Amino acid sequence: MSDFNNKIIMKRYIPVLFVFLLLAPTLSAQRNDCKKFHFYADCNANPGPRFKYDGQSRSNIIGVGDQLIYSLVLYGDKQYKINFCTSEFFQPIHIKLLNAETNDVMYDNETDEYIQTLTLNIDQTQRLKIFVEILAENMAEEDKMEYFGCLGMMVQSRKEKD
Amino acid sequence: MKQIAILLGLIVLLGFSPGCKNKKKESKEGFTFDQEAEKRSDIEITKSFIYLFPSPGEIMDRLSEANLQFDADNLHNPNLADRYMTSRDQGLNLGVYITDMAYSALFDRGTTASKYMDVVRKLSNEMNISSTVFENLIDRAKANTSNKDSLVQISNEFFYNMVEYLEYSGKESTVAVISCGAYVEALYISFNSIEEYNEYNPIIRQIAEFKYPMENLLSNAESASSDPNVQSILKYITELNGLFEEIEAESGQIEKDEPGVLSLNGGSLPRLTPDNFRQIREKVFNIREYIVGL
Repeated sequence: MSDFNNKIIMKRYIPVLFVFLLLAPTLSAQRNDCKKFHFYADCNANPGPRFKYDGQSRSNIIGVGDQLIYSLVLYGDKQYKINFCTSEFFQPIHIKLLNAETNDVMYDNETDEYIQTLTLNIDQTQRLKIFVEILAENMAEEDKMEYFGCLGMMVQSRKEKD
Repeated sequence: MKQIAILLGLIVLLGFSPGCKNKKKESKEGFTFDQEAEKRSDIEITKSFIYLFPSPGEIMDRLSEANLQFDADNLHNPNLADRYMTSRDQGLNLGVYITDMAYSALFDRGTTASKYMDVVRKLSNEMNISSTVFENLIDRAKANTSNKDSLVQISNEFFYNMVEYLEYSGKESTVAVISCGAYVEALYISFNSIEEYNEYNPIIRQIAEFKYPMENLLSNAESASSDPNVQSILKYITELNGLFEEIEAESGQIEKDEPGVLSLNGGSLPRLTPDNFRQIREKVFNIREYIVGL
């Protein structure tokens, strides 16, 4: 191929190359689009007066088959509201509260029709594990293998006795 | 021509593949949690353990409720930030300064808190923590030096933004290093506020409660222990956690009041004995000295 033809090709394709290189970080940023998910939708429902945001709140990527086990510190003499949210396609959210030392199941939201908001009145400071998975009951089996989405856990607290 | 076409094809693939949201990924990029995997029918079950702990601001808030007083002598000199050259030392002292910032904000020392925010920003920049973490927070802090609630809120927001940025960047190891420095500083301030052991001192109770976040901090650090910086401080977190493990406590039982409303009652307060107090204090002071290099 002649040098002249090479120059023409480079002139045409270099700008195209440049555009793709510019786009690549944007495209890769899509993997981070669960960031602050817990500030949206059902997660951010008003918990009531005097509740403050707790820094243990999180948003994570989740798919069917993923089990997230959060270990949190909950302080005594406080009431916590923990809201979970995800895309409607992944509902319901299965939540279990586990003893942090023994992993015994202390509560399973299956008994409360998969309620997504838990109110915890804490007497003494302790660690607690929260097991979370999405059941996607209305999703086709083949879709369960294909898709993932966001799970938000909004933790808010207030002093129990003011 | 053929070579250019191949090159372009590769670039197209690279450019689009991270954006394929509808494909199940084999690994969750940006998260390095402990994972266990097993197969159940066609869906692979993956467990991820995520260890969380309160922010330095939330910890200092608890201590202030226990009648902790402000003492400027407890603060680490912000002018010494320039001496920290390695990423480990910068991370540890960033944690120290974040706690000092929260402590100052909580006790309405607006100008001092603002000074620590500048140091925190400087060290964060040196550690390549994105400037978006500080977006408008510094300006808001300077405009609110006399507004305690705003300053406390700003100092907490900074920590939450920083942790979020680091976790989403796959830098959980940096969170572990910074949190180690922050927790040691919070314990250092707590112990310095007590002249002698008194089991009825509410700060003693708060120190005993460090048992719980320390356990999670250790688990978090262990999951990131492939990182050399975490590896080098794991010994200190392990030793400190070992002393806290000697504090006995029982967890409570759950009672359901109504659907989704639960009470965790019973259990026992972790009780710090005079021996626990002495040993933990000595360990904290030694680790803090190592961190700040004085």
